[in-house]
Amino acid sequence: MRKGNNLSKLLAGILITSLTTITIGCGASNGDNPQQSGTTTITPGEPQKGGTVTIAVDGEPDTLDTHKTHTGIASSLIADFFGASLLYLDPETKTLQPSLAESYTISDDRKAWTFKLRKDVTFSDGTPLTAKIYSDTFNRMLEPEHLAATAASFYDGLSRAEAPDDETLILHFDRPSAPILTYLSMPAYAQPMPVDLIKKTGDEYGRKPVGVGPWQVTEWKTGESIALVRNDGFNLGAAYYKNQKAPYLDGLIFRFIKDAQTVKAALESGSVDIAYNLNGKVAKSFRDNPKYQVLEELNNGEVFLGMNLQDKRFQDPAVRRAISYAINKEAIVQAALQGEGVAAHSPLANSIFGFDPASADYDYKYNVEQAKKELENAGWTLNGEGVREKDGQQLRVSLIIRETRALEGQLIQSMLAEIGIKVKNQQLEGGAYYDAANKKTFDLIIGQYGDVDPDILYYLFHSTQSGNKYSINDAQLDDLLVKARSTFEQDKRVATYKDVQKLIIDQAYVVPLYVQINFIVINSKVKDVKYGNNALMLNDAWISK
Amino acid sequence: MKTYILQRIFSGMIVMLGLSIFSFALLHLIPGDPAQLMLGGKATAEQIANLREQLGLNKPLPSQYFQYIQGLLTGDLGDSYKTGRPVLYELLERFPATAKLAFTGTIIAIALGIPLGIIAARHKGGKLDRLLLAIATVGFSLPTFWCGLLVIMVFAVKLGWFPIAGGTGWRDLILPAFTLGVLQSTIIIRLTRSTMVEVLGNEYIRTARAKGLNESIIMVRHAFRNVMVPVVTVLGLQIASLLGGAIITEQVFNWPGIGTLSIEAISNRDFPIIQGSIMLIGFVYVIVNLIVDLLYMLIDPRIQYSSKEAA
Repeated sequence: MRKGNNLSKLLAGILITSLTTITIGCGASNGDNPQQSGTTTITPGEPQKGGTVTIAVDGEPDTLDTHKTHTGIASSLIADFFGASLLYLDPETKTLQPSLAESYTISDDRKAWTFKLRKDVTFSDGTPLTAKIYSDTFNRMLEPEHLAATAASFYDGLSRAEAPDDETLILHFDRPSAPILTYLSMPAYAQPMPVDLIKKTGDEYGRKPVGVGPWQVTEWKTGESIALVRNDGFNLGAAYYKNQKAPYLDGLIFRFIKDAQTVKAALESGSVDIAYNLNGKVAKSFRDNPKYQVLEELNNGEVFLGMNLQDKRFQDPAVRRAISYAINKEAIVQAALQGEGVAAHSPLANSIFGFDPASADYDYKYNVEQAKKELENAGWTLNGEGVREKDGQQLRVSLIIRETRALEGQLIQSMLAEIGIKVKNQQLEGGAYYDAANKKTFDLIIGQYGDVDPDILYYLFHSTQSGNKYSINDAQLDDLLVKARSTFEQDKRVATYKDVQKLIIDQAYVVPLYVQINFIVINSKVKDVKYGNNALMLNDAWISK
Repeated sequence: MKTYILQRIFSGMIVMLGLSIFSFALLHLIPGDPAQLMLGGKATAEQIANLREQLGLNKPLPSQYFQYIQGLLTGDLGDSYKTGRPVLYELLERFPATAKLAFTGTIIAIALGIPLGIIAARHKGGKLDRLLLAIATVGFSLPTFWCGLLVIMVFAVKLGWFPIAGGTGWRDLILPAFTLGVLQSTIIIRLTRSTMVEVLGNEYIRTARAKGLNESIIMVRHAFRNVMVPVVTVLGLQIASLLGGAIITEQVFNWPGIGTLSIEAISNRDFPIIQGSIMLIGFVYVIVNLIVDLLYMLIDPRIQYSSKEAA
């Protein structure tokens, strides 16, 4: 075993300097607040205790059992409030910092991680947190009957957890896993859960979970809302907060409102105080209104155009390159997002650690003539109907899109028509879309992902992975992806991911389209709300009376 | 009468059986794998295959159907794929909100539709008639989501009289029920008017007037009952439809009813919830239609049901 150090010192070594979450003009909507910093608005005045904040979310979770949930509202939002993780990712410094773990060591073969837990942590029901409870939590995640496919996917390679004493948690892996610390900083999936209580309450646990976070869930009104109250015993607040103890607010209500126009009206009427992940079009209308504060951050994920390489036409690199040249990404950002996003040039989103800024140079620049030339040179000539043809095969292709991306689909259709590729758009709702993607019954597809680590590229593009809907089978790429997830030295890992990004673009396996901006709109009476790493943070928040 | 009711219950059961077969077959024809949706995008093929096995989705369709019917007969509609909770529980939790909205909306529709329809008929061809008909036509043509948003903007945002998306309390009910009721009343205004015009032209009304009867007595005793038969038929269908969930109104006003549940279930391929919702809606239609048929007898004593007629 390597000698253990104080975690903060050790983790400084894995400083995630290049985790370039780009913050775009966040802060007070009136734009004249000189004190705004990062994703925080520093408000003069003493925080006052009390009050309840209502937050509009665009759907209802399936369950708050974080091993079983597959809804982002549970895993990316509500679970952050009632749970905590071994480490946390500081949104400002982009370094991993201690949370439930005080320190850790890693074995020489890099397959076992030993965490020393804090001694003074209790669940919101008063049960002390022990390493046994934590190890039971991870072991539960690995049991197939709990259907924890999403949660377990982040801890790929984890074989078992053990607790030799109350303060020591050991995680055993089948292989060295470089991204594991990042994933252990996700409160949703890496939080301890009272497994004995879950055994007693069964599925109902998912309606009223118990965690070690700053809030506790008190009520779930089906179809309406989930209410949380302050956990007065909380003392784990990250150094990033001004307030490390229990939050100032008495409670939070997450109200489920699907329709964006209804959310807008609810904000305007004061029925809700915060709207989470509001679309750009609606959020923009609040920017110049001093009654509201608009926080914005680039999404930790990307939208891209994928091609089905089972189809011989897309096995021709010239066709893939031609498509890459023909797509005007800037136009898509302007038309589909009203400019509220950035054009993507790498398969890795700008906001994720490991992103290669040089990708803007080596990515295919929009050039219709070059696209036509690629096809001509490869023998794809225009037939009488204006469609490219070669050896009896025509470039008539289908494009699968979700109903929410109709505009992107239409733009791509018209852009590819310019170079003689006839696209038939198939707009599908969620279930049918995933079915077509899994069965690979598409030629082109608009895909999307969100993640906190570049290891997402392994899931999307490694030949063995279910996320590789595009049937990419490239031995060099496979090797690089495996190397990147097993490399612990940060600079070497970043260098490997640069090679991965360059290779994917050189081969034009996908066309990166855009990274959109996430918006949070806040009633100005709620002060000191923070937004970073695509997470809403309310430990410092208070209501000005 | 008793035989008629028994026969109607029996035929209702046949309808329900047919509905269950049809909806079950149709649901399984829609593309989309519930196991994939339950496990999320990162599930492996092996995990999906195991879950399909657990859920019984690999069994032949007839076998799955019989399993479903067996459960149905014992009151077990299965568990939601999304939440893991019993379907009956999910439906019963949402039904009160839907029923509250449906009944309040219908009461508003009746309170506005019938009197305004009668007034229009009594002023047939006059300015008031033309105005009411124009309002009814415009109201009938307006999309629910647009009216809903307009009502929200005026009464909740600008005037601040009512909450938005606040819950299922009585204050929260006013705006959606008002929107629903006013829009539904447009059909009733037109129907009441046209039926009343027809009835007022009948010989027996002329006779009543010739006898020197007071106009209001003629309206209430002689005309109104005859007007009610077609109006009750339409109202019955409207209530049944609303009890299945006023989907658009529920979405716009964020009303947590059966309509919202059904839409989410369809997106999630939550077969047990969809199937349960369809059976519930079918059951409501059968019951409401039976009640409407029985109401005919109360409204118009000339209507009598015998087993022969029913057959």
